[in-house]
Formats: sequence, C-alpha cells, structure tokens
Amino acid sequence: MRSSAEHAWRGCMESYRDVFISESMEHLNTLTQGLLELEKGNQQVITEIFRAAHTLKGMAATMGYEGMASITHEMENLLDAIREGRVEINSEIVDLLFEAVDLLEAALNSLTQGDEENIDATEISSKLSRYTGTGKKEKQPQRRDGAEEVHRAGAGVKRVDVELDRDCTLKSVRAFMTFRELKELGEIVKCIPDEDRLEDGDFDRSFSIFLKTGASDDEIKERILKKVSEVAGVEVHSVETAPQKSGGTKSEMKSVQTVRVSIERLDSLMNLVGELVISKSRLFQIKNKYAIDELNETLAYIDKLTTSLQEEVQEMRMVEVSYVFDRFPRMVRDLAKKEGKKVEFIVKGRDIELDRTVLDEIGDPLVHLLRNCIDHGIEPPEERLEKGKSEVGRVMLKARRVKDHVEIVVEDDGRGIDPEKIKRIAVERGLISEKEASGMSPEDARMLIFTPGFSSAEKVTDISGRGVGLDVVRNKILALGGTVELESEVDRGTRFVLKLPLTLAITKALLISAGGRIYAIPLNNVSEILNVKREDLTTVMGQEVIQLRGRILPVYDLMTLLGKPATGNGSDARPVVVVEKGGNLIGIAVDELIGQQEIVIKGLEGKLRDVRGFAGSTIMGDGRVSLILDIASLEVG
Amino acid sequence: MAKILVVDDAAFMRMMLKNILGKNGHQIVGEAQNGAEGVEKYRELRPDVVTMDIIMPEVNGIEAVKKIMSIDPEAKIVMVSALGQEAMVKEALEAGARDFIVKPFKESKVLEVIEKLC
Repeated sequence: MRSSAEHAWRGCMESYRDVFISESMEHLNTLTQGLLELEKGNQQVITEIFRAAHTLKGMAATMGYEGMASITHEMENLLDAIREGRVEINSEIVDLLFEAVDLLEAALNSLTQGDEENIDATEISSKLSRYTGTGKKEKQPQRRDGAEEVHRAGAGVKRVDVELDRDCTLKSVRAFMTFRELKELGEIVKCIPDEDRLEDGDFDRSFSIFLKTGASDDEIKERILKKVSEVAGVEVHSVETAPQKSGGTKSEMKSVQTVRVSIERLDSLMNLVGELVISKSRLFQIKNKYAIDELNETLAYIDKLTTSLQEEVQEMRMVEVSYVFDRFPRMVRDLAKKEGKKVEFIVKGRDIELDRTVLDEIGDPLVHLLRNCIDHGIEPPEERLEKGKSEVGRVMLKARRVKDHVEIVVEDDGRGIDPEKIKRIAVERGLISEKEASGMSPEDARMLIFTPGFSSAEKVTDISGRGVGLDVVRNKILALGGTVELESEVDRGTRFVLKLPLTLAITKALLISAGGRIYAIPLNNVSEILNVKREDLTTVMGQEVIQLRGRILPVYDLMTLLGKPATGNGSDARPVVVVEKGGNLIGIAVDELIGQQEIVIKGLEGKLRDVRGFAGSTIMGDGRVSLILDIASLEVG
Repeated sequence: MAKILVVDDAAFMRMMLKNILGKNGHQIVGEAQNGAEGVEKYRELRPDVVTMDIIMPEVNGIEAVKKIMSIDPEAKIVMVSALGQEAMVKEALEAGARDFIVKPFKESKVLEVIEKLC
C-alpha cells in the first residue's frame, strides 16, 4: 500500500517538474538581470533579486532538490546582508553570486534532461555563507526579510532585534522566552531565522521577531530586558509595509489566463497546419481541373480558415528575442571582465518577436558577433583614452521589425575594421593574391572577414580566434534565409546587420519550372519578374546580361547554375526572375512561371543539408516534391 | 536581598548555589533533595525565589514546578539545567517557571537571574 502511495506521490511531483523547471528558469533570468543591474550600482533591484532567490528556494525545497535549496538559501542570506548594508557589494561577491546562478542553471539543465540535480552545492554554499556566516564580528543582529508575512499582517508591525549574551548557552530557550514575552504584547507575525531554527538554537547570537503590536518601542524593550535573562541588547524598528502589495493578487489572476504549452506540441500543430495548407492547394487544383462551381464557396471559406489558423499558430510560435538576448548581458560582462575591458552593453527591442525556430538558430551567431565586438572591437581602456574616446566601450544589440523581417544589429564603438589590415591578413593566409588585394575596395576587403579560413585574431584567446570564423556566422544566417551586412569605420566602430525572416516554416514562394521540374523561389528574394526576349540579351565578357532601367544585370540559366545542361535556349523569349543576391540584383532565366503559392518548408536532412543552392523542399498540392532554391548560397559565375 | 529555597539532589550543587547567593547578600532559607521535598519546603517556608534542578529522583523538577504553581501561582521559580535540556526547560517555563540558569553556572549569571526576579 505504502509503495503505491509513494508512487502516486512521485508521479504527482513529476507532473510539477516541468512547471518547476520553466518557472525556475524565469527566476534565474531575473537573478541574472538583477545581478547585472546591481553590479552597475542599482541597489533598488536587490529586493527583486532577493525575492527570486527566496521563491526559488521555496520551490526547490518543495521539490526536494536539496542542492538548489541550499544554494538559494545562502544566496538569500547574502543578498539580505547586502540589502541591510551589512555586507558591501563588490565584484567578488557578484562573481560569486553569478557562480551560484550558474550552478543552479546546471542543476536545472540536468533536471530538464530527466536526470537528478547532479550538482555539489557544498562548496558554493560555504563560499556564500562566508560573507554572512558566524565569522563576522558585527554588532547588528542577523535579520532577514519577512516581506510576505509582514505585508500580510498590515500596518503596526515592528521588528524586534534581540541579541543574546556572548556566553549564552541555551539560546533556543532564551528565544522561546522572548517569544513568550512578546506574545503578551501583540501578535508574532514572523521570526528570523524561522521558528525551527530558533527552536534548534541554530542561529548566531541574534534573532528578529516581527510583532504586530500597539505597544511602544520602549515598552517592548523594557519587557524583554526585564523578563528575559542573558540578553545583551534589544532594538525595535518600525517596519514599513509597501502599499502596492495588494496588486499582487491581481497579477496572479492575470497569469491564470495563460497556458504553458511545450514547444513540441506547437511544432506538431504547425506541421498539421502545413499539411492542411498542402491539402487545400490540392483541393484548389481539383476544383480548377473539373470546374466544379459548387466547390467555390466552400473552398473560399476553407482558404480563409486555413489562413487564419496558420496565422494563429504562427503567432503562438513567436517568441520574444529577449529569450535569447537576455543571456547576453551576463556573457558580455564576463568577457569584458576577462579581457580587462570596460563595456557598456545596451540591448534594445527585447520585445520583438521571431519564430522560435529562427530564434533558436541565431543564438550562436549572435554570441559570435558579440564576442568579436569585445575581443576585437572594443579597445582596452588605456587605448580608448589615448584615442580620446570614453574609456567605457559601448556594445549595442538591437532588434527591430522591418516589414516582413526582423533586423538585428550588433554594433560597437571600438577600433573598427581596417581594410588594409584585413587585406594583409588575407594575403598572408593565401586567400587572395597581392594583386587582388591592391585593387580591392575597402567594402570588399571588409567582407573578407566572412571568408572561410580568415581569422584576424593576432593572439589566440579562448574567446575567439579558435578557427571558427565569421564565415560560420554568415552561413548560418544565410541558411535561415537572412542576410548579413557589415559597416565599419576605423576607430569609430563596427556594425553587423542581420536581416532575418520572421518565420521559416511557411512562406510564400514563386513556383517556376525549369528542365521539366518545379522549383520554388521564396518570394522575399524576388524583386521582379521580366520577360526577356532573345535579342535583349547581350554577352559581356562571356556573361549574358540585360539592361534593366540603365543597369546591367547578369542573367544566368537556372539549369546551368544547378550544374545541368541549359534549357530553353531555342525559344524567343524567356521569363527571368530578378532576385537579390548579396546586395546585387541578378537575373535567373527559367522555362516557365507557374505562380505564387504558400509553401511549407521541409528542411533537408542528413547529407543533403550541406548541398548549396537549396534551402529545403516542399510538397506541392498534387503530392509532388519540389526543391526550394536558396538564392544566397546559389553559386554563380 | 531575597529569601531563597535551593532544590537539588546534588549536595555539591546546593553548596555552590548557597555560596554564590549567600555572599551576595541573599538568604538561603532552606534546601531540598528532591521535588517532593521541595514542594513541602515551599509550602512551609514561602521563599521569594526557588532554584529548581530538573533531573531529580522521585519527583522531578518539572513536576515540582507544577505542584508549587498550584499552591502559589505567584511563585518565582528558576530552573537549573544542564546543556542539552532545552526541551525540559521549555516545559518548565510553560508550567510557570520564570527563568533558568545553566550548569556549569557563572556567578554573574546566577545573580542576574535572581535579581531580575526580585
């Protein structure tokens, strides 16, 4: 019987585990953000940090995660000591708190994997307690927050701090007696340390009791001193209760209106909607083929519904970039510290939303770019001062929505990218010849940093210069259907602009046929469509070109680009799709335009994933599979 | 100056207390070796303060406190405890004892406690 009850209990706790994990992650986030603020000197955040640690502690203890509970307990003590001004905050303490946060995160990650906590909390706990522990010699009694209980009790609460004689032996009984006396004067709301610890004598020499009372401070003091022996001192303070506390219940009610859904379920919902979109296309084809009028109305309605459904699901999958951005301040701080650089990190547009698949993918590239900013961009403080800049460098991460894509900007006010230096390195590495270098524009030279095998790190640090270059970043962004732009000015700074599609899963595409197959070109790549006559094509230096509003546009046969025999050479006129590629317009000659359609992108997997020129595949309404062209990675010339 | 009754089964402890209290101007009006005797002496002597050992044969200190309190709700009893007897001290306090001292005691502690009660 007992084992089945135990089993039920475990099962019950298991079901809380997910909630515990996701909520704890949020609290960890609060902690991280708060600590960064605190380090900057914003003391106001400490209440928030404290509360996060406190809540985490309670949650972890309830779940029986003792390591986490122990760490958060010590954090809580230390934070309180800081708040009370007993311990002065310094970067060593912040580092230690960060270390604690890291460990908590490790525990959470391990729990996420379905494992145990797998952390050893003893070392960090003892490190943390060193600041608050018994070793200290300060006179002030140990106090901790009683916020919740005290607020609940309302006005008229006083905190009575009692310090016992140094040689007091049965401390718990003295505490007990103090309790007894104070109970005569009012209602005890809370005590610190908690009652269990007081009862076990598990406290230093002092404790605090929160008393809801009408008695004066002197009355309280006198009573304790008179009735309880071995008391070295008593202090009474009025406790301010924050009036906005009642707002708490309101926000609790609000939170009930949201439901947590696992990402997998959203993915599968998205897939189902995708299938629905495909089936819808199929229905349209049938309708057109058999010209069934009765179907029109129903189909129009289904069309509308699927579109709405798709938009809804899309909306659900949108995640604020803050999910990724919020971990950067900490990283930037750590890096800057390690490098001995002073960096002010500004994040803007945290609330901009992106599809989570896109968001998942951009984390690493952003890490890389930010590391570059700090490692290569921002100069050491002395160097900055010499240049007449503020010794604190500025790194900015900014997101904004621009039409149907999101722009993410990573910029610094550091040394900038010197094209001459880049050229020199590129020549050294054998990426370009001396001759090529001399004729290269500064812009093109800067773009060399995206070339595989290029790494300008003069010394290898563990931060960057590990052989993983910016080419990886660029490829990743391109694979997402985005673009990377670079602006830089020597000694003024560098700016990377990433343009990303809002979503990856469903997109509008232009369907074309070439060589007897259908291909899809994502519509956001397409700038216009031309019908080019044979006689409009001229050949310049072996490359077919057309003139478009005074500009020369190279035109490539799609089949040739894909490494197949060219088609349609005999015809008088051919459709040419004008697309943007790397900032330039090029024309792609195809056999036939089929039309515009929503397509559901299925990624290429396994060995196919690295095939250049294709972004994925899609299933057409009639069940055929067609490949989606990836203009960015298409090799031309 | 207070009239004091010392209840303890150990003669050594009684002597200690008598010395400390006596030389500081208090008067030891009586001694008892166990709880039952302590209660009888209280009834008979009506001292200002009683020092009461906890662990004693026959009737222990806590029982004695209860009995004395029923005789005289105003009785001022100080428990004499050893380390590790928190629970029993608390019980005695709940029963009505006013304070306690811990063995091995210091003169100053004993006087502090007694004088607080007078």
